[in-house]
Amino acid sequence: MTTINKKVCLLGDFAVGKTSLVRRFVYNTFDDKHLSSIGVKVSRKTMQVSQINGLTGLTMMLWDLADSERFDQIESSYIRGTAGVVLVCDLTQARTLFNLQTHLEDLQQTCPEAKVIVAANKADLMSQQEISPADVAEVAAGFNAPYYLTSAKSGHGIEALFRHLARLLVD
Amino acid sequence: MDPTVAELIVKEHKIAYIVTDYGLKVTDTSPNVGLLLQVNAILLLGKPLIEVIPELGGNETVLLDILRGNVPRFDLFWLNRAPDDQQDTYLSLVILPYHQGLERIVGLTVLIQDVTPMGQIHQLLNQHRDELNSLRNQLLNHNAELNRANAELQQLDDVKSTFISVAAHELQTPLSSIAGFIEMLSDEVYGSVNEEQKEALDIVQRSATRLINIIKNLLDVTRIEAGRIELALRPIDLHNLIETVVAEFRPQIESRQQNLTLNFQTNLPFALCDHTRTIQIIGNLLSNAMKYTPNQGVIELKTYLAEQEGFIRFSVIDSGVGISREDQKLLFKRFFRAESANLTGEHGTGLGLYITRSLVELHGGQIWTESELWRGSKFHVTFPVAGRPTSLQEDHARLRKKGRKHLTTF
Ligand SMILES: Nc1nc2c(ncn2[C@@H]2O[C@H](COP(=O)(O)OP(=O)(O)O)[C@@H](O)[C@H]2O)c(=O)[nH]1
Ligand SMILES: [Mg+2]
Repeated sequence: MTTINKKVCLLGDFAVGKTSLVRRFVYNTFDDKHLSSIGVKVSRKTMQVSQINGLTGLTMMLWDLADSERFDQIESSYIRGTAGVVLVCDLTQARTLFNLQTHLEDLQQTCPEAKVIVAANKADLMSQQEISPADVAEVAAGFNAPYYLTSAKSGHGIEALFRHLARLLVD
Repeated sequence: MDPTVAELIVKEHKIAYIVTDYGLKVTDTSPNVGLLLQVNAILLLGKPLIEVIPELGGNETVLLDILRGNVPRFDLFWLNRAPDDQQDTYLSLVILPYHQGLERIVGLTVLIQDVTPMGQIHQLLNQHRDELNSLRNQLLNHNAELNRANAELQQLDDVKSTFISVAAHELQTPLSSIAGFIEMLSDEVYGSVNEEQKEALDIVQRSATRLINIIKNLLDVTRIEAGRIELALRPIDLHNLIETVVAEFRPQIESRQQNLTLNFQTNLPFALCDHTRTIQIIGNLLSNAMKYTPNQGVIELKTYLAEQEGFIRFSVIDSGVGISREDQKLLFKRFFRAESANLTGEHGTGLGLYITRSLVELHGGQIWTESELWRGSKFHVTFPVAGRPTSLQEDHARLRKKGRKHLTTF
């Protein structure tokens, strides 16, 4: 079985749950506390993707980028070589959905070929939702990207999201 | 460079390096590389770079671009290498082409620096900034909510003012005709009335007059709050005006056997005021003094130049029920009636002093009280002195402006 490495970046506004998604997916843990991050933390997760000619091993190098700085020279250097991107928004904050457009534009300047998937996170906070699945669907369709409603807290939707991205990356 | 110094720099600044060949296999390292990367340095030679620094996995295209001379360098600042749930450690990586001779690129140089202390400070700063930001956002949200609530209240207040104004206007006309017909009835225009009927008519007439006054006051309040009171300012002889008002009240004062004295300063300059509104101010104060002073009590009206230059002071001093210290603070507010005033059994809406204060302040003057419960009250009002005729216009403009300013603070 061949194994390939792919670089995947998580992009999205501050506190939407980028770090939490990675931690749930890679370490299966969750923390209520928000820790600001600087620079980048790279985590690895290997999965198997079935194809016509058998299984392919895919190692996703998940790049959790600092959320605070605006896209600039430094971030564009971090993003270089990205094969896939998870655009993360927070269902309880409408503006985080509308800001995805900017994050995508930032990415496409450097990596126009990158595969895109949308994670609408914090689906567990039912009573605080500011945006509906239909809103997410509309924005994602505009990007020509699939979307998943996720919860880093409960784990809902996360495996499915990354499986889908893995298939996009291997094809 | 002095090799000893170079060695010191590399050691003290925790800088390590790795050199690779064109196939990205490690060909050389500094001795401290094992320490920085937490690996066994001896085993590194010949290994693929991506195995040594797994974070570079997925970046193969960038590395190839550097080898081919398409990209000058690849920077990774603040690479957080701490295992999950452990204290952050940070490396800074710079990947450059490794040249042989001047032109030929034969591999990569990776410069690695441990920047953990700086990174931890940087992270803390970010943490604090983010926490401040989220506090600020919470505040902004609260503020927006308060503003919304405020706007709603303001709207309710507007509705209320409009309602009062419309209702008062509608009441005014029929009431005036009621009062008119009662007067004609008592004057026996429609035939004679006996003593008993006359007494009844007197009571109805007094009630009608009171109602008309209440309505006038309500209309004044709505005008004041909408900033719709216009003053026609001109130089006025206050003494003359006071005497006019006193003449109007004389019968009631006499029926109460109250002792009224006028204590006027000679050569008092003219005041700059609105004729009708000043009569209203003096009338309100005198009427209060009369109402809240027992029979045979003493009332004094006094004028003099105020301490404040350019102002005349007018005081109404009585030996009436007085006002407690707490009530004095609220005295000039809308709909407020002092406890002691309530006890007298006299009627009142609590609008008179509010209107009086507003009118005085519109003139640019001030109103205040000195009183002690059961020991009488002193009400002081200041009016601006009329300037020379040429400056009248300016005074007018200045006072109007000042009045407006006060209005907004109600
Ligand atoms: N309820 C809930 N909270 C979440 C979820 N994902 C993240 N959070 C919380 O949201 C905050 C920000 O998450 P984090 O992953 O640090 O956001 P980042 O700035 O995008 O990396 C943290 O307090 C998390 O605990 C979720 O799915 N549900
Ligand atoms: Mg984060």
